[in-house]
Amino acid sequence: MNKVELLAPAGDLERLKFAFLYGADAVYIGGKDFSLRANAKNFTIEEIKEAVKYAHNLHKKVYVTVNIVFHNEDLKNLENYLKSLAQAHVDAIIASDIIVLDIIKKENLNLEVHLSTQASILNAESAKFYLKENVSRLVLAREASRKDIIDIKTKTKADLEVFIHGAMCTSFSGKCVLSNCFTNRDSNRGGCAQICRWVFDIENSKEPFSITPKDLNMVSYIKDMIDIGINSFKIEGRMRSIYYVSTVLNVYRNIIDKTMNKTINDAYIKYYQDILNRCANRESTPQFYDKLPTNKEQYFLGRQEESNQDFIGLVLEYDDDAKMVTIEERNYFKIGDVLEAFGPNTEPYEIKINKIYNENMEEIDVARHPKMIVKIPCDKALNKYDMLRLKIFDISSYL
Amino acid sequence: MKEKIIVNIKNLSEITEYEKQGITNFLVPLANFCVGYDELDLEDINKVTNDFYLLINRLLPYEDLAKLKEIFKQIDNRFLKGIFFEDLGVLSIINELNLNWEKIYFANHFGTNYASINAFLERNIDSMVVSNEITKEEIKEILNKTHKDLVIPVYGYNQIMYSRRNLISNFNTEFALNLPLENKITEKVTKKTLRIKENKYGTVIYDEKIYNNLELLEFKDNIKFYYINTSFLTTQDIFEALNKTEKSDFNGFLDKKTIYKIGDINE
Repeated sequence: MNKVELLAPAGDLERLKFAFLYGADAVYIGGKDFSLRANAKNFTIEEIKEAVKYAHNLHKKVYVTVNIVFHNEDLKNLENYLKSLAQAHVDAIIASDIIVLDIIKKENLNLEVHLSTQASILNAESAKFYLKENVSRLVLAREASRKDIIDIKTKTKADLEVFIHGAMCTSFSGKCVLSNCFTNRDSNRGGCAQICRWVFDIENSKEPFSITPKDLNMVSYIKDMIDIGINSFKIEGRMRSIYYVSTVLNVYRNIIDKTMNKTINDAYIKYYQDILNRCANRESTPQFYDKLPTNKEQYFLGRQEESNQDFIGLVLEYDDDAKMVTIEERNYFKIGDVLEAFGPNTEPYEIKINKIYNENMEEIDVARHPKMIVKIPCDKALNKYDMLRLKIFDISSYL
Repeated sequence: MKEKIIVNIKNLSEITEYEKQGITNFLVPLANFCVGYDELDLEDINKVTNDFYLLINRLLPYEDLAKLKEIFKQIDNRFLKGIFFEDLGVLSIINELNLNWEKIYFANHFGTNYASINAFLERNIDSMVVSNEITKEEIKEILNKTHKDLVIPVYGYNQIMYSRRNLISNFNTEFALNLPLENKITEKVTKKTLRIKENKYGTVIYDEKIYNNLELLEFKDNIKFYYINTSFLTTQDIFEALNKTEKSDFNGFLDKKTIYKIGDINE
C-alpha cells in the first residue's frame, strides 16, 4: 500500500506540537498575512522558522498557506514574504493565485507550491493547467467525487491532497462572497463570517430555510482512498482546539495505521465515527465522495449542536511509585465519574474516579476549575500530554 | 459606448430587441454548462445569426468536460466569436481542438488584481472579467496596468455564491415541499433578501439589489466589454437603466472597500 501523509491544521505553535505528537506527518499553518484564516492566531516569520525547525527535527513537514485572492494593495509585500518563506525552509506553500507562481518562477525561489483547494480542481484538464506551472501537489476541490479523483489521478499521476475531515463550505471554495455582502468582511481574504450558517426564510414556506452543510467525515473510505493513490489526507480546522485536533488526528492515525497493517474492521470504524461526531458536536458525512449531497448532508430545522465538556484534562506527569497521574484540568469532574485516557501511545484506558487530590495532596470531591492541577490514582502509566475525556463510548462493546 | 456593451440573452427574440437599441454583443449561456442563468440549448444556439460569445460558468467534472468537447465539435462556428469560461479545463479543450475562438476567463470573484490578470493574459487567454467586489479605484488601476482589454461588469444582479449542492431540492425533500427552483430567501436577522436559483448542476445565490455600476462607463481605455448581467431583468429594464442620468443608489463595492482583517475595522 502507498504511504499516505496525514496533514493537520495548526493555528499556533502549541497546536502544531500537539498535531505532531498525535500523529500528523505534516501541518499547514498561516502566516500573519495572506492566509485565509485571517483571524486565527497565525505565525510570524520567526515563529514559522521555529515551527519548521521543530518539524524537521521530527522528520515532519510544514506547509504555509498563502491562499488569499490578492487585491492590488496586497501585491506590495508579497515578493518579500515569499522570499522570507523560502529562507525559512518551509516544505511548501499552499496557494491558488497564479501571481504567486509567477513570482516564485521569476525570483527563482526555492519554494514548492501546493495548489490550494481555492482553485476548485475537479478535472484533469484544469489540473494540467497548473501542473504545467510547476505546482507539485493539487489540493482538490472538496466537491470532487471518487470518480473525479480517480480520473485526475489516472490522467495526471499528480500528487493529490484531499480533505478528509472538518467543516465544509456550502459553496465551492472561493466562489462565495456572502460574507462580503452581509458584513463587508472579505471571504476570499480570510474574513469569512460564515453566512452559510445563518438561517433564512424562503418564499411560500413556513419552514426555516438553511444552506448549512454537515461536516465532512471520510472514516469509512480511508482504505479506498489509499487504494486510489491519494497522497495526503487533510484535516480542516486551523481555529479548532487542541482537544479537537488531537482527537481527530488520533482517530485518523489509528485508522490509517490499522489499514496499512490490515487490522481495520467495521467495529473500529463505527467506534471511531462515534468518537469523531461527539468531539465536533456536529454530525459529519462523506459529502461529495460517494454521491451528490442530499438533504441528509445538510442541517435543517431542529439541528443539535450542543457543546459538551468531554475534555477533562491534560496529563502533565505520571508517578510510577505512587501510581498517580497529575493533570491540568479543562472541565469539571467529580468522584464517581468514569473517564478515559487516550494518547499517541496510549490505547483508550478507563479510569474510575474514586479519589481526587489537589496540588497539596488534599482530598477533594470535585475538580471545578479549568487549569487547576489535580492528581488522581491510575494503575496504568500514562504519558505526558495524553488526554482525559469523559468515557462515552466503550471500544470493547464494539468489538 | 453601447458598441462595447455585452448582455447575456435569455431567448433568441431578445437579440432583435437589443439590436434595435444599439447593443450588438451577446453572451449565450450554454444549456447544461451553466448555473444561475437562463440557458439556450444547442439547437437554439445554432439558429443565432449574429456574432456571439458562449458562456460556460460551471466547474466541470471530467465526464461533462468530455461532453463539452463533443458539443464544440458540433456547434455552428460561423457566428461564435469566443467563450467566457470559469473552468480552466475549458481552455485546455479549446486549445486541444485548435479552435480559433477568443478565450475570456470569467473567474467569478477572482479578477481582483492587475498582476494575476496579466499572468493569465500571458497564458493564451485573450481577456478576463474583472471582479465585481472591488472598488472603482482598484478597477481603474487594473485597467491601467493590464496588457489586454478587459471585461468589466457594469449592471445587474451579482452572483454571490455558487454551490454544487441542490439546495432548494434538498429543502423540498426534507420538508416534502415543491417550491420552485428559482426563489427568494430572506435572512432572519438582517432581513436581507437574496435571489436563489438552482438547476441540476448546482445552486447560485444572487445579491438582493441590482449592482448599478454604470458609472464605470466613464472608463474608456482597455475595455473589451462592459458586461450587463440581465438575469431576472427584462430588456426594458436594461434600456431604462442605460437611459437614466442620475447616479444609482447602490453601486456594490465601488465605494466600499472590503475588510481584510477584523483588526482593520479599527484602523
